[in-house]
Amino acid sequence: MSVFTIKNKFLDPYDPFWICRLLSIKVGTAIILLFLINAFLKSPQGPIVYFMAVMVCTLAAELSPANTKAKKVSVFLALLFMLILTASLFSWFSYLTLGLFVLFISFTYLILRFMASNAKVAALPMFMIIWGLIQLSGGAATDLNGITNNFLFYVEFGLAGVVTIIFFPDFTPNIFKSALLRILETDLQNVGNIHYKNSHPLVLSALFMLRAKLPILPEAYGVLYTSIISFQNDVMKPNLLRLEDQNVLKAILTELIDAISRGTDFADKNGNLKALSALNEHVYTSLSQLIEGVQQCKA
Amino acid sequence: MQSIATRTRINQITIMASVSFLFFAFSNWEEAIWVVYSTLVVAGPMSTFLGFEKSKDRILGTLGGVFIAYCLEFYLRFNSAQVPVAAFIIALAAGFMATRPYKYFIFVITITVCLSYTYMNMPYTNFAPTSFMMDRSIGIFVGVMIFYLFQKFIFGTSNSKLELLEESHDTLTKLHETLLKYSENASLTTAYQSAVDVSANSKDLKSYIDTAHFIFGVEIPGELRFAKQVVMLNNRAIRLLIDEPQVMPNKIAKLLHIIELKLER
Repeated sequence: MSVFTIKNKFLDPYDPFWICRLLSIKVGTAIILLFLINAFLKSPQGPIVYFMAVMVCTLAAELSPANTKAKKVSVFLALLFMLILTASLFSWFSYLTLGLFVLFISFTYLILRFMASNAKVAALPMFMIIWGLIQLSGGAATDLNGITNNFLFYVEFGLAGVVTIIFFPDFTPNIFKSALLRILETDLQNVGNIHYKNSHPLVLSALFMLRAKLPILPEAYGVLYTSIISFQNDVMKPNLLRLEDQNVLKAILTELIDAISRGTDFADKNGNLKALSALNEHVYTSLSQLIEGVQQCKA
Repeated sequence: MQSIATRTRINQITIMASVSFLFFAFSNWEEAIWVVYSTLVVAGPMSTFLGFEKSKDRILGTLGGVFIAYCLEFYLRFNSAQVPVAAFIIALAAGFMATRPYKYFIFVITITVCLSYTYMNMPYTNFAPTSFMMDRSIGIFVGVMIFYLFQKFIFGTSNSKLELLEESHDTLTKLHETLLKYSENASLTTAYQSAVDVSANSKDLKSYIDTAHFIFGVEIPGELRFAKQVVMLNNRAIRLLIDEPQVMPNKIAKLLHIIELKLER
């Protein structure tokens, strides 16, 4: 079991959809590159200022709705440019107490007025204001020459973020399969539970995640998405599955979860799927479509 | 186009930020910049509801973060060659916590910012971890206090009520749109997709309701009752779409009628 496997019993409770792991590995990669770049540069401010900017922009580019590498790089560069602009403005005024006060109030008001169209998109303008203040404590450049020099260092360190985004492997299938596993695990726990509903919060969140990732995945994942919906609708709605059907279904789901997490084929080692076809044709059809979908995505 | 509640909130945030900045500018205290950071971070979600919850989490997360940063500072003072290793581990943790609850995120961010501060002023850093811990803690406490005092005793609850009303109306409008879209193209997949959309659209309103007691106390104003009704309608829509044995078009139509009546009111 490694951090790259889809199923990890230590991390899954905290990171059900593999998002935290993805962000963690990405930021970890960026910081290694930043330290390597720093070995060849002598920055005017403490290098940690540039590190923070690049890390924040890398995180934000990953969390943004941008779904291709080119779009992510564009988001990264746009954010970095905005941080540089903020840093330059605050640095310029840093030695004037009243000037800084006026700048701070006007900047806070204007940036919130024009960039925070509603409460949900206020994180970026808020971070820009805080970033401006952080500059004041890091030996801010107060002249045009210093500011230009600072700009170039931001760009040089920013290369680490661009390289990370471009060359970082695509882990979207892991996110998709993690979400699928969460649904199947919830199903496994609730086979035969007459109070179980598809509106279970974890199932809804997982379905949301599955759909969000569909546009950047091959078509086979779309088929799998439809199969899991059919399965939830046909099998997991409150119904009265017979006890023997439930036991066979649990055994198959356990084997399917194991196959998805290991990335292996579903082999039906104990012949449960065959047994299910004799016991309950309806459930068998739905489940075999789901298994077929999983196999297609593996290929 | 910003709503009235958002515009009022921006004015409020600007006032709070200005007061904390004046504190920084005139207190002649070197670490007073932490007061401004804290006020801005707590006011960061814009919504008053989330701000109150955030202030509580910020205090808890910050205390934990400052303590760990204090220990790390001591350690790194004598093992400076290990700074990159510590930075790498903290970066991994920060990435992992970015989408986790705010308390844990702010815990890692506090460690990051505290250590960054120490190392970004090199070689002028005095490496006095105890005074550093005390200064940051006091700064954060004062920042949160400024936010709390202004919010509770000066701004009051009128904008919060408006904000709740706007969010409820917004959620109800989205529910109406989602159900209409579903009715036009009813299928098994669209039923599930609509249920997922309805659930995602009502998340913010649910978090507002969960934190409403921080603002209104035991009082239950009309706006809060309305918000709860909207959440109930959302839950009902989800149940109709994916929990019933079959989607009943007439029940969806009935629900749409109720929503339209509510929107008219």
